[in-house]
Amino acid sequence: MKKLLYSIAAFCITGSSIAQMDQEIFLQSRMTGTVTMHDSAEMSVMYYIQDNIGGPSLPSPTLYMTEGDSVKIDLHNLSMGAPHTVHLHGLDVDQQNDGVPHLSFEVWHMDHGQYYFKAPHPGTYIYHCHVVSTVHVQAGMYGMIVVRPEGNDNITWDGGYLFDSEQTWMTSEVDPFWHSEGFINTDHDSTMMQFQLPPLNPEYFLINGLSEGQLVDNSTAINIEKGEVRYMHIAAIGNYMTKYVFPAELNAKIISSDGRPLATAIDNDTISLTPGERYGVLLSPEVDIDDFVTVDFIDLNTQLVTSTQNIPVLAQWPFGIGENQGWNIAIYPNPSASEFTISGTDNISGDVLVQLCDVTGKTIDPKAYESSIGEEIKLNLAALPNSSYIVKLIRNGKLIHTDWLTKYAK
Amino acid sequence: MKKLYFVCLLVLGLSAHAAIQDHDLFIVSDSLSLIDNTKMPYKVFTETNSFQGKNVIYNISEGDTLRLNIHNTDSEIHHFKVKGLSNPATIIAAGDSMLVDFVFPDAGSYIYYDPLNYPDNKSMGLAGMINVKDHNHSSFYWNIKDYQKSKSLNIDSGNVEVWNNYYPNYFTINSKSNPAINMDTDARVTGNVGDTIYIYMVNTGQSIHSMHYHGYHLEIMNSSRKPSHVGRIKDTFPLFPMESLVLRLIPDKPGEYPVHDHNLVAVTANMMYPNGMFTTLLIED
Repeated sequence: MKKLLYSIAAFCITGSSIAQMDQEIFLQSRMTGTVTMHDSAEMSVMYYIQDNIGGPSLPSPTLYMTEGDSVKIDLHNLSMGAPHTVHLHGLDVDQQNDGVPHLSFEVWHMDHGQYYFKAPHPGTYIYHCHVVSTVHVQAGMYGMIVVRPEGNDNITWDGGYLFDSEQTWMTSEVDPFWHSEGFINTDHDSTMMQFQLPPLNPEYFLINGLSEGQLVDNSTAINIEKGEVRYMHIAAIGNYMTKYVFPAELNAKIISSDGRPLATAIDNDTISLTPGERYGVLLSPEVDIDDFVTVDFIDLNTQLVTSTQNIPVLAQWPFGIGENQGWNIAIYPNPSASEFTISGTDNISGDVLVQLCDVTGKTIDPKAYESSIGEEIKLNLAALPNSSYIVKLIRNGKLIHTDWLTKYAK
Repeated sequence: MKKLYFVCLLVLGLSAHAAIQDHDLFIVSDSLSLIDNTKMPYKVFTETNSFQGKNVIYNISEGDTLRLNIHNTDSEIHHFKVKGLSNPATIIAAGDSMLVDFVFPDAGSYIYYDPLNYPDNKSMGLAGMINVKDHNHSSFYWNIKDYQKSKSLNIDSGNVEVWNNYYPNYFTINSKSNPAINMDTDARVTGNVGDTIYIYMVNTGQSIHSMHYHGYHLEIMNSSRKPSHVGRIKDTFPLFPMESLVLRLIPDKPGEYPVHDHNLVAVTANMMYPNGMFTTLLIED
């Protein structure tokens, strides 16, 4: 009933604009499924999916919006138990759309709830569930929101900085006990007044849900070309402070915090975020870089570094990654633990030369891996360490295709 | 005549700047009642020699002198210092009193505390706030603190505590946890749309806190740790141990909006949700 009243109230307040929604986002909240840690451990999670696409992931999908647009989020709860909400962290929405159960409404299993708001400031935000928030956030119900300025997707805000590409990083942690199937499936009914929780002792320290060798993934590693300007949207949602140190050659410039421009941008290769904070950072390398961004996860209580993660950085590639000169090439599976298949719509014949490079561009000795060329190319990288590699296909002395391979064996 | 009037104004103005606020301050030892109906050994600076749950909050105008007559009613020696001032620590023997003047160079929020056996005495509760104000707007005051009850018990038993394994299990604002924080008139932010509201925050605990405001962005007016951050407009504010922040809120809409530590373990009490550092702003039309 409470939800219904709030929905009616929200409808009355925003009713005139509902018919003119500029953007509608459909989210589903779910509690069945696992994500894989770097050591192959499977963790049960709560999560959102957008538009019925995809499965469990940490974080949930990034939502993109445009400055000033009227936005409706329709949350469909398929949790099989717990109620959920969407708190629009930093968007300063009104009370009934704030996603805090006892002050707005919650969405029960098999029910829908609608959130109406405008996003007036371009920048970096978070969405997360606010039902028993200590549990549901740790469980995985979080993602990022990027609000883009009206009329130009390649500027940070009206009168701001131009950029060529953008990337999101969100840090969090995972405590395996809190991600056991039994704990995830506990009904955290927010009509109850109190919940006794177990101690929280995270063992996995994640950027975009990845750690250790998983960080070579293209979603998280920085692969950037010389002269390119990349807009990094960085957010922290866990229970630790995260301290990023960028290679100096990336020329990191801190431009915004919590969805507002800094009065003066700061050239600094180090930035720290506490839970709930967001920063906007521009990267613009002018030289070759083969290095890492280090991310320290700092215990808020002892101020000691609990974990350090290294995000690979590769700048200035000598040729266009993924460039396809008329060939329709498919590579699968990718990532793979050992064997990759490279095929094309036209048969790949024996006059194609395969060359493999490491992330620095250095050619790898063909003796270090197995390859065979028939109608398809088979590459077996079982003997090589987990990493990203570049495969180059050369025909008649001409480069016809380049692409990334990610070798990842558990 | 007009000239005489100006001189009077000048004298009044000067006397206002030279005001001395004179207070008695007592160090009292007892125990704090926690939100889960348990008790924890606790020591506080209070206005009388009877135990009160929270440390005195002093509000003075910029330029004022704060004169404190500090009485140590405890059975142990204590020290007294204001962070950010050059005054050396005042040593007060058990049962003794000391008179000390403090002059503050700038507006902002200052932490007074017992630096002896640092951070043990401070962690037992002996840390409060002095707010030096340069405005007359509505203001609220948060002394933010975390505790690990087992460490408080250990210190109270006369043992030396180590802090590299600190894992606090109680989180308070003005010595209260949710929902009691909203009953503390110093802490509970109320106002109207369009008001200018100041929130003075100090962290007298050992943990870093990350205070997130729903509904609004606020401007940093003063920061003891990062003066360069003054002017930033944010919704989430890191607050390091012994740091103070002054924020300005001008609400643009009515409603009741949470403010809480976004280290979400800190919204629990002994891991009981939601009995930690969580309060709400209440803004009316």
